[in-house]
Amino acid sequence: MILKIAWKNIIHQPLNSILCVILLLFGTGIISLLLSIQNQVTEKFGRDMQDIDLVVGAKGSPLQLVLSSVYHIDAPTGNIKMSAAEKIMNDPMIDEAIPLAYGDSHKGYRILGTTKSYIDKYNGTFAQGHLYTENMETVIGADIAKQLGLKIGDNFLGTHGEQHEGHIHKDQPYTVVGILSMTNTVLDDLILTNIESVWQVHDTHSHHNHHASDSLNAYKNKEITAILLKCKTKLAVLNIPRKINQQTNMQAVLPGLEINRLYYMMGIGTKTLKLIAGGIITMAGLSVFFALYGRLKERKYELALMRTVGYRLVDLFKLLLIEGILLAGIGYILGTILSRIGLYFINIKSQNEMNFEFDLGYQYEEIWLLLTTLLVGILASLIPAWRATRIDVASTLSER
Amino acid sequence: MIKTTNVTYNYSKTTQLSFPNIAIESGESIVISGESGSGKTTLLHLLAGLMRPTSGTIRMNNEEINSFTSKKMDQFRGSEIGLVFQQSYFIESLTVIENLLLSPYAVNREKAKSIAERLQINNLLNRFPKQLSVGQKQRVTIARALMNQPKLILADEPTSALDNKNCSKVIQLLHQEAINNNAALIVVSHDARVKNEINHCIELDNLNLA
Repeated sequence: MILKIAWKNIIHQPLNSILCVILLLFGTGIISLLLSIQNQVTEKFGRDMQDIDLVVGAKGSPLQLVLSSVYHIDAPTGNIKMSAAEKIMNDPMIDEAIPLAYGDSHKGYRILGTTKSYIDKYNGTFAQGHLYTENMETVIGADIAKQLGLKIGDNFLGTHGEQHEGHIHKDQPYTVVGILSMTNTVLDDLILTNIESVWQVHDTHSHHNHHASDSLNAYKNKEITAILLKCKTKLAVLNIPRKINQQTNMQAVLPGLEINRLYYMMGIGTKTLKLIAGGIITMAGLSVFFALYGRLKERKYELALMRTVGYRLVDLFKLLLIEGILLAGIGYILGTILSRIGLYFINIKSQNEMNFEFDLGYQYEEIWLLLTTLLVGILASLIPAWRATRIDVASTLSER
Repeated sequence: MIKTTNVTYNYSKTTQLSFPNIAIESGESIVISGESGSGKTTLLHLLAGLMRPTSGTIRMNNEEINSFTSKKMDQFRGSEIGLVFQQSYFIESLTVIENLLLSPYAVNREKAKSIAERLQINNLLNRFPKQLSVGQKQRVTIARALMNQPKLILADEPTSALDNKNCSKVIQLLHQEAINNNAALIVVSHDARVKNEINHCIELDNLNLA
């Protein structure tokens, strides 16, 4: 019955509760949104990093090189000569080297020229079909197959660059020969082909098909975009970048370092937003306090009445406490819904621009947000609850 | 059933009330009357356990209720006493039926409906208190006081806001319900109309001011 009275009190005079709920809604909504974005970005970045020690590419912004080559969410810094790349790839301290060549895209999804090692790196397995063996054959990620409805044997055209409205290579259609299973990594949103196909599409003088097993030597004057490296020793991870950065016109960067730098920059922004949201929740707590405390005067007859029909002091305490908790709970639920609406709209943009979709599901950390919000509700109602137990029943009922 | 012995209550050193001894059995009704300030409401609050006497004893069913702990008194009041006030107090956010079932000791919904039918408020059960007239409110208050099947019904000036017709109805209702429940009824009132309805009357006068 106490819970029912508390609930009815809140909904019977909604204007008294609305300010608290709105403040809680925005406070918890912002924090919930930030938690969802931060967690999922961190998780995705960690997953997609795999064990890539170094990324080598054209000089420019190191972060841009990592974002474009590892996460495929930024423009490449430029191209590097295949001959120069091969020297690095053949370094005895390199355990594994994966060349990457960009050029085109199809309906916003990047076409990436690379080797089978790239698929293996992300533990990609074939849901259908097989690896490309000829030029212009492609293997597509699970998400692309789902979104674009591409099947084995389908042909499609590449568009120059990453934009939807670039130059279309009408005379160089790609063919789907393999579809990968879902990996929840960058593989899901990539169209993979051999490097020769990328060169072929962009080589206006030669449109002859080449066998994929042809040596890369034939293309030493050609260019690729980047190389992903795994070094044999930790010392090599430190030495190789120094050598490349000093002796070549390329740059080698440690992706982990760049991403940590990115987290740090993001962290300042999210920390500020979290502080603002925390301030809003504190104000919400105060508004819960004033809403409950302010109404005590007019509610004292109700509280006195409850004592006369058998409710104990502790019941009155509980009633006010439950009202504070309910207000906090309503604010939290609406805030969580608001954050999902926010994520939905962010998804529209991130799907278009980065082929990245945020999961709208509940994040583990949001349980802590719930507990914090409820704690704010409890703290805000403690004094009004205590005051409720101090009401003199006899004199209150004789007052009117 | 209820018996008071040498009960006094001191508001301050200069305002001290002493009350006559009262003894009333189940099914009996009395009116406690007196001038304003004679301590009628104080006596009722003492009997209801809302205040504790400075001295003297109040026994109900051979239990000295003024020595109960606060928790036991709350429980005892909820289960054994029905209170009707001069003003009608409600939880405004609850409907009439929910107000009738407010007490943790209220019997059940069927009981509420049968009492509401007897008091002719069964058509008001889904209304909110602010939608009721003064007379309707008073009948709902009486119905609520009966919901725990009390052994003692205490009514504080229950007719002060009512006209003659409604006054007579309310007192007859209280009297009848006390008989139906085999409960003792104590009405505090300075209203002469009440004294006409209930013959047994204890008059408090200003002499009880020590």
